[in-house]
Amino acid sequence: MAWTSVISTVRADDQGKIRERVYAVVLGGGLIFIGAVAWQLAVMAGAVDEFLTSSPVLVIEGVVKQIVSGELLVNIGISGLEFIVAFAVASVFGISLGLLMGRLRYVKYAIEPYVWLLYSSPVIALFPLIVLIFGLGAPSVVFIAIMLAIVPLIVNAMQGVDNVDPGLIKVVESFGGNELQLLRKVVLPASFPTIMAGVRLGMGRAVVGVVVGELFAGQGGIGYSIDKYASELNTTQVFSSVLIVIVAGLVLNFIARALERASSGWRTDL
Amino acid sequence: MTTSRAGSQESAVKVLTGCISIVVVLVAWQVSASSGLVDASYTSSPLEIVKAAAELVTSGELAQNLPTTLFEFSIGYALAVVIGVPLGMLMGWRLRVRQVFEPLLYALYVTPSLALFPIFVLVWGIGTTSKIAIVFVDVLATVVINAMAGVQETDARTLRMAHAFGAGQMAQFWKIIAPSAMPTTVAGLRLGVGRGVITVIVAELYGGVVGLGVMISAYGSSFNVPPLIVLALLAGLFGLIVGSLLRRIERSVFRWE
Repeated sequence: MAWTSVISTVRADDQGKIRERVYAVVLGGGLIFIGAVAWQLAVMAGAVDEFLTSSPVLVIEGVVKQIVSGELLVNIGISGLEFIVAFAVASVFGISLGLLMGRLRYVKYAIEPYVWLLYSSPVIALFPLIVLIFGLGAPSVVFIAIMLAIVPLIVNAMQGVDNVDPGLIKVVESFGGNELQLLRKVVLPASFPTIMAGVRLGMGRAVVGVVVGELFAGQGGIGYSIDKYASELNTTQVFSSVLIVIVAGLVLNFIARALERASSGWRTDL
Repeated sequence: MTTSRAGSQESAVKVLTGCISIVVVLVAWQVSASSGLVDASYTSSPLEIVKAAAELVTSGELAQNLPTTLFEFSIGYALAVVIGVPLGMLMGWRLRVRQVFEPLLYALYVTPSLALFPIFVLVWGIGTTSKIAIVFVDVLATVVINAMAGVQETDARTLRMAHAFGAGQMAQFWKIIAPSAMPTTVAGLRLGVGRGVITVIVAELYGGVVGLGVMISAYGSSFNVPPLIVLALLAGLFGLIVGSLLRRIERSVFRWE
């Protein structure tokens, strides 16, 4: 009974919204579904070689196998830990450096060229050197992920400070506020949304760093198992692992967007 | 006038400080390497790097490998632009088209596309085809998402006005939607260059026959550090230069924005 009363209160425009939702799910899911069915049929009809292309059913079975054997949990544990450590270090250093660069223009001018070089360089190309220094495995992967993730964190923190209303800064300074008070009362609150946008971008790049770093220098984790299965020509498990990476990427992106939204909502309350 | 003079003075300070900082770092690097303060076999030194760069050029090794990398990058990038811009604009313009392709592209966008590369190698081998495919996939998501965002930023009032004055769908698209989507679309093309360059080199690093990434892999496995750094810097500078060129073009073309 409660349900019918809820439904009857749904207004016409809400119904329109629901219809749009259904369209979005049916159309977007439809393409993926049709693709998967075509793939499965092509394999079953023998049009493509199952050994090379695997098939959706096999890939799902592969994921289940990884879950049951506990392999998935171990891999997520390794990759997740690398991600958390790299992202935490990159956040602390990147945001601090960005704030410093935003406040002191000489520091900004001196460091900016290196930030852009880091941004456009293939850091992973230096992996032989990185492995030589940090050894094969997690430390190298974490280092690569830090180098990738830190750039948007620095740049956004810096731009956030640049965009703070200079009038507000002048007020604090003329009332005798020190740098710490200025940071806590004006600079951080005003630049918070920009910094959080950097956090979202940094999270994405940290994922790339962990997965691709493991591909080259890992000794465990999801990226490592993609490489391992590829070298064994186990197409099915390669696809299963890639599917897991895609799901992980979607989940992390969802979290990052929620964080960003929450932070800009917080700002409007100000 | 005073503000523009202050502005040019500020940018002179910026360039000068940047240059001083680079010189200081290079000198400190060289001194610490040649005095044995740090192990030069790990860190190399600026002079050694210059020497290695000259050697790579004069030996013809660079000339042998660079064209392949450029070819793979250009074809993959061009395909992504030719398919991505129309697709992105169509997705921004037509809700149903967007709903069909959005989930797939979104998944592609948040996934490190290089994770797909081992699959491409299994399918196409370690030759140029798999590199073109990975550059295409990596650049496509960026290009589509920016073109779509550009269309969605079109001023709704201008469109309503065009409609009121009897402009048809095609006229609305070519006269209003496409031009106003251009700046964001071109920004996507610029972002795509940086991503594509890194992707082609890392893909070659994973498995290839000829190309910059293959050279990097060879020097890396023999721990010959100076050429390794030269090649990584070269890739970085290429991305930086093409990126700032496109940014300059963007600024001069879309000055009216």
